[in-house]
Amino acid sequence: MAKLPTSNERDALAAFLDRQRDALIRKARGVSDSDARRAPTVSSLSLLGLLKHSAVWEARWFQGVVAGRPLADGWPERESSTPDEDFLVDDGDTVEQWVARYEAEAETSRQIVAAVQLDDPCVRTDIIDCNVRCVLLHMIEETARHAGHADLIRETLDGSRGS
Amino acid sequence: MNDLKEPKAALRHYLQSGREALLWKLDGLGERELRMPRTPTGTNLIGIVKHMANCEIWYFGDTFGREWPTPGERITDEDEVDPQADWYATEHETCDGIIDLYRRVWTFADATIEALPLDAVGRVQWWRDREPTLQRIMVHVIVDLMRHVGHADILCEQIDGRVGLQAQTSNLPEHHDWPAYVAKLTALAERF
Repeated sequence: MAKLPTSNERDALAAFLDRQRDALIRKARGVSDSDARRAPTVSSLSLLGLLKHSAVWEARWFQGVVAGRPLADGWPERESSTPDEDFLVDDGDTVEQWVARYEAEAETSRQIVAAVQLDDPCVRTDIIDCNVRCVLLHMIEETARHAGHADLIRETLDGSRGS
Repeated sequence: MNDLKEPKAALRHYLQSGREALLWKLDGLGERELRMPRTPTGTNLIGIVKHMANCEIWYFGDTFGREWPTPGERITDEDEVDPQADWYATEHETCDGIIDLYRRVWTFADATIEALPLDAVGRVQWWRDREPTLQRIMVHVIVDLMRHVGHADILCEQIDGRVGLQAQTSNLPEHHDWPAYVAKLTALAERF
């Protein structure tokens, strides 16, 4: 595992978030698209649903909230009428596609974070009144919790486990 | 949310909400339900709490040279003959006792967090970065805790169908027909 940068708090938090993203992606790798779409536990969550949800919210938090950029799906001004649509996957969704999308959104997030300071307020204070540090910490804990969901879904699918 | 703009307050907020989410997940479940292993590797709800209590004693105590006042209550080197010792309640322990221990550990850990600046240096022998800061330790514990809360989310849903982010806000759409939604996903998956 790569050493976490300790030179400054921002880079350390960004690296922590990278580790959580990687953990989630590792849980989906090597799983067939069909298995990744399954919700094998009593929960309605699937590995592919978790990836899709994480990619969608990665963009919403960093591009939308932190940087104030308009998003392709129109969030937050345009709300989906389907509850939890970001978790919903169908036969058009593949692991390869959503890993690639998640990694691309994460790269955009890294560029956004590298250009700001942790104490800087988010551009969209009308959505949430917080600073960049708060968003990074939120994404770290949120992604870690979803990686926990992925742990048990993957273990149920094929018995594989580990970080 | 103003509190969250201050670095230590933000970390404390996420740590505390994770701790409370974990205990909320256990709320109302009996001794047997909490102890029952629920994955092929024996993951059980009270074991998650015992593990996190021992984690916080280590990371906010030993790491910064503070001793846990009642050593008999924690996992020690002697217990390490059983590598899973911190992952289940023994016959002589009770779930209420472990939950009480966890709450007392919060107070102990919070005293360290209160007393030290975020750049205070601790010592973790087995880390590559052997002298991590309190800030780094806090993020590490939050990550570990939240991943285990993720496990508890799924395990609790298996027991009584209870779901949600935390006691105050479920973060799930209300009045959604979840059984119908799961049936839809199952039907979708079965086409493959």
